[in-house]
Amino acid sequence: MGTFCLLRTKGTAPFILFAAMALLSARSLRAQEVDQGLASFMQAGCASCHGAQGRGTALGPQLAASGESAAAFIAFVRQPVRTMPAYAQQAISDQDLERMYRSLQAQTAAAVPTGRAEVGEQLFAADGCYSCHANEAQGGMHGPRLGPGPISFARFSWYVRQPTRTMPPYSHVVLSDQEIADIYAFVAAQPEPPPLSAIPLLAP
Amino acid sequence: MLKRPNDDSEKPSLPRREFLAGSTLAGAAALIAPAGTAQAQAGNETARQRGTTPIMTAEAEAAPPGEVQVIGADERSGSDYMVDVIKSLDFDYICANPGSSFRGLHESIINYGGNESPELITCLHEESSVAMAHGYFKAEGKPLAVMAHGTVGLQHASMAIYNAWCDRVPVYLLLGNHMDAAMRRSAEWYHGVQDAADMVRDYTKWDDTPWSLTHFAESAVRAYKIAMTPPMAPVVLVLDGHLQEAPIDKSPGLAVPKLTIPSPPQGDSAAVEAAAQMLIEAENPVIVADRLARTPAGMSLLIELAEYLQAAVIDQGSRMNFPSRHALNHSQRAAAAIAEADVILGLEVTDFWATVNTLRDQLHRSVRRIAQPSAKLVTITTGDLYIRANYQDFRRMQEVDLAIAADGEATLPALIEAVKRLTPRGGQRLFAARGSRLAEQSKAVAENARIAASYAWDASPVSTARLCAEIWAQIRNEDWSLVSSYYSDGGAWPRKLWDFSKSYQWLGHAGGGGIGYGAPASVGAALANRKHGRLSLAIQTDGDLMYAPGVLWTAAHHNIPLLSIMNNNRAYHMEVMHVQRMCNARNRGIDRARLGSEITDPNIDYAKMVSGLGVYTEGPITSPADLGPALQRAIAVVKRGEPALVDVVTQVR
Repeated sequence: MGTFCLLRTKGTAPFILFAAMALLSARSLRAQEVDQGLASFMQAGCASCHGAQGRGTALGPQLAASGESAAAFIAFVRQPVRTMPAYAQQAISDQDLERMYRSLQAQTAAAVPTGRAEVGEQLFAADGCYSCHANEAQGGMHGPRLGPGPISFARFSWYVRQPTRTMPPYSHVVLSDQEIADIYAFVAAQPEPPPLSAIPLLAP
Repeated sequence: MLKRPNDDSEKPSLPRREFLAGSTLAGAAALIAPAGTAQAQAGNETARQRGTTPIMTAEAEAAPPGEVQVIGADERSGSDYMVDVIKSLDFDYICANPGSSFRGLHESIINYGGNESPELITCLHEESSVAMAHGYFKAEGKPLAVMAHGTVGLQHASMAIYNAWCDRVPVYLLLGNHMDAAMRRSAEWYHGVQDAADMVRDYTKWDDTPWSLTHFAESAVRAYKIAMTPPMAPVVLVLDGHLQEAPIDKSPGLAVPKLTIPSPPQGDSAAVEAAAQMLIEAENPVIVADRLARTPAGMSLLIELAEYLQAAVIDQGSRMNFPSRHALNHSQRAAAAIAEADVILGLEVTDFWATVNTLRDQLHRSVRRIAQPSAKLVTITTGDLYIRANYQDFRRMQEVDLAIAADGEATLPALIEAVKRLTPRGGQRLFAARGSRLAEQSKAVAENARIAASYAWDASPVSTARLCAEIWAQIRNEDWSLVSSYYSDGGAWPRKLWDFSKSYQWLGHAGGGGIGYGAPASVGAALANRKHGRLSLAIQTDGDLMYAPGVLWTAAHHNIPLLSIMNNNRAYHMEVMHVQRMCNARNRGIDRARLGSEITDPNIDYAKMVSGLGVYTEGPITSPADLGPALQRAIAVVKRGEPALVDVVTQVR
């Protein structure tokens, strides 16, 4: 865990972690290891909120194939921000959590609708996302930047349904899964900004 | 040039006394010689039947006057003496929308007082008058006087008074009122009230209704003294119309009392030492400043304390407390700094509870403490010396470990001295190590802000970050003063991107959150900045301007140089967010949340509207590439001593 945290703070973590995760992909795992991870998952009571294979329920988000880093996963388990109880080292070790993480990543994610960025752009305005996150999802005083390079769709979708802060929650009644996917496609399609060196007005 | 009524060429054919006696002539537009009296009378009968204005005739006006109407040579008016007292208080300006209940004082100010110290500023709304005074004080540190009707004028002014009170800013209000019911004209019945100040008593510091000129003089000086003693706040004097207008003996007899402003209260020395000890022993002390810097010295003192301790500072922004680019300024990572702190010192913090806790505003509101449970909390504030019932500006009560009831700025010298005296040998080496870490953190935060600003850089409508970066490019080499502040991203970006280092470069907020403060307060602050030759600029939100846009006419009329740059996002977007929350909490969909909050269909053309007020305008600008040249042209106008407005259609955030 210490290695993961260190990498994360250096800013190069996503690339290194993705490379590491590729090496540790589900196909390379021994079946026994996957089973051990899932056993820990069940034993710790995680399934009661996140479902038997970590695909999420109304009480907890999808963890399977979430795309989150192992470091973020472990950090959240140690210090959750909402109703989830914190799990200390004595309850479950970092090694077990890493194994659990790999097992969950090996699970097939719930079907993700294909997003349509052009529809998402209209929904982003009509459903009021722009009012906190700004027209191009670049964020502002009242909401963070959403794209380009958004968080995983699983986490994005979960947050839209059950936000942890002051964002209004969007239920299935007001926003379908397909519409969330459309919005996700829109924020993911935002262009990267020019480098700071190309914007003299933003020189220190 | 105005024609004076006593010019020979303009004298009426009737004796002056008789002319003045004709009360029905108040609105007469012309004097016509009586060529045919019977014909004229017949005409008047016809006019009366038609309801039109009758023609003046010498015969009809020949009745002798009942009373002498001109003040005697050995007399003067009560309001002349009032001006003597007002002049002793050294007001630069007095703002007013005209009103008959203070016509006596109005006339004395412009004629007897020579319209100097104070000079009358013509306002088109009483809310503008008071908010101008609010903004003026924050730039200059001196209060302005305001005249208004005791009833309808005060009702217009009340919102701005509430803002000033919540912001603990002194405003000196003089209200006209006719108390003697037996002597009232028709309109004075609507404009007369038994207790005029009652309406604003909950949010003013003191008021009085003098019944004699001696009483006025004492109360006028007392009111100034009370208003200017921390915690400062608006005060009200109700001036009887008869007291203003009735002649008094010219001979000496009415003195002007001497003004002595009390020194503000400094914290108890033992408590200050205890606070110093806690700061010295802390691993991660954090200093939070809000309404701290009453004077430019406040910022210098805070810098001295923070640099000695190498402690992080969070400037909550009600005053210009700390340079924005100082390595110890951690305002942009305030929550993280609070979470790390083991000692938190609050200096004139208006909402200490919200500083160390957070409230989640959902259907079921929940609260979470941000600060560590073991963190020691210390406050130094005049908020513990002054609290009123009814209006809840005192916020939630925060349990603290040490509360010093005193003025923050006045207490800082003693606190700095105690910190230096009590720091053990070698202590500053430890402080220095902390300072290096804090400097690295603030450097990273500044870099992240620049990166955040680069997103949507070329977007249209213009991003608020681009707007502020473009403005900064034009003013960074000027002696500038940002006279607006607002609860918008347009108001937040400058604090992330610009280099604020002087006391007049940031003037804080409205205080009470009452929209409509921004435009008049900006004009008031620009009036203060004018004599210093500073470039005043305001990032002006559209919803705010539409409360009383006439204040920009006041800027044009009085040659107040101010550059207003519209943050025109065509809605009250803070309210849109609230309605969105309700829509979704009730599962009704969010697509209609903008109804009632958007300012579209038609879009307001601010350039056209403000141009009609006599102000140079540019825009509407939708492309960021057009912004820089437009700002340059507008700044050239402002440098000539005139107001200018650049309408920029911006993104919401």
